[in-house]
Amino acid sequence: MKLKQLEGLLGGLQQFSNPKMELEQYPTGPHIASRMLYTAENSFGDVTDKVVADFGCGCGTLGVAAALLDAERVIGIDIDSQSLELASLNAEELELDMDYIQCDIKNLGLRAEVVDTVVMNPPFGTRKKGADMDFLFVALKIASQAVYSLHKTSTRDHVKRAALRHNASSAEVLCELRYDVPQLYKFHKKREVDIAVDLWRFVPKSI
Amino acid sequence: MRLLTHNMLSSNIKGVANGFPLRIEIEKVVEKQVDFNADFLRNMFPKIEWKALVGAAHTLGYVELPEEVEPSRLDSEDFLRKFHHALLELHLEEGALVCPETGRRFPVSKGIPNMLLHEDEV
Repeated sequence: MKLKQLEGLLGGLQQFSNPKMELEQYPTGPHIASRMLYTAENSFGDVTDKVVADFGCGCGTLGVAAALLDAERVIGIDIDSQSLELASLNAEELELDMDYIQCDIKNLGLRAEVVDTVVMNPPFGTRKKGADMDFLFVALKIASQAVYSLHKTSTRDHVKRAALRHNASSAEVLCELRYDVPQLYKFHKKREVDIAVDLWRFVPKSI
Repeated sequence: MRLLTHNMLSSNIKGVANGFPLRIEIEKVVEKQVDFNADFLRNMFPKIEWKALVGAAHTLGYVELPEEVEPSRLDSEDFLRKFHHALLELHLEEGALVCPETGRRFPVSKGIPNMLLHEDEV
C-alpha cells in the first residue's frame, strides 16, 4: 500500500467527539500516523506479518494503520471504554480484524516478547508529568523488536537518556514532525497550537 | 479475545507473584475465520506458553491440541492448522478472566477484557 492511500484511509476514520482532557486525548492525524507506520514498515520491516500493539490506542488510528500495512495481529490497548468502542467501530468500517484490551498501560500485565512492535502516541505528559515516559518504559519491557513513539522535541535529550537507562539498546529520532493540536479544550487560548514532536524508534534490549 | 491475547495476559494485582495463566469463565464463545499463515505460526510457537494454550483451548471446548510438541511437529501442516485454530479463531466473547492467586474476576465484554485495577490493587 502506498503512503498516500494509507493517509487517505486514515483520514476517513472517526475521531473523538468529546475527548477527555484528563487522558490527554488528542487524535493522531492521518498525516503523522501514516508516516509513522509507513516508515516503520518500509525502512525497518517492523509491521508486515508482525504482532503490533497500539498503546493508548484511543480511536485506533495507529493500529488501523498497522493492520492496513499487513500486520499479522494488532492489539489496541486503552484505559477508556469509549475509546475502545470507537476504535472497534473504525476497524469494523475497514473490515479489519483487531483485538482490544481495556487497561491502564502502567498496570499492564503482558508477557514480554510476544508483541514484536509497539506503536504509540502517548500523552505528552502535560497534564500528568512523566506520563509519556510511563508508556515508554512499559513498551520497552514488552516489545521484542521495536517501539515507535512520539514525544515533544523539547524533551529529546531527556527521552534519550531515560530510554537508554530503561531497557533500550538504541534510541533514534527518525524525524521531527509538526503536530497540529486543534483547539479541543476550553483552556486552549489559540485556535490551533503547532507543536514540534519527534518520531522515535527504540530497540529493546534482548532478554 | 483470542487465545493469543489470553496467552499474553496476566493479573498485575499488587502482591501477586504469578498471575498467569488467567482462568477462563465462559458465557459466550465465537469462532471467526482467519487466514492461515504457516511462517507466522512457526515464529510464534516458541513464544507461546503451550500448557496455558492447551488448557485454555480445552476450556473453550477445543481438544485437538497435543499436550507435548516436538519441534518436528512444526513441519506438519495438520498440527499448524490446529495451532492456528486454537490461537487465532476461537474467541471468548463474553465471560471473565480470573486471577489464579486471588480469584479476582476481570470481565470480558464484547470480546474486550477489562483489566483495570481498583486503587487498592495497584
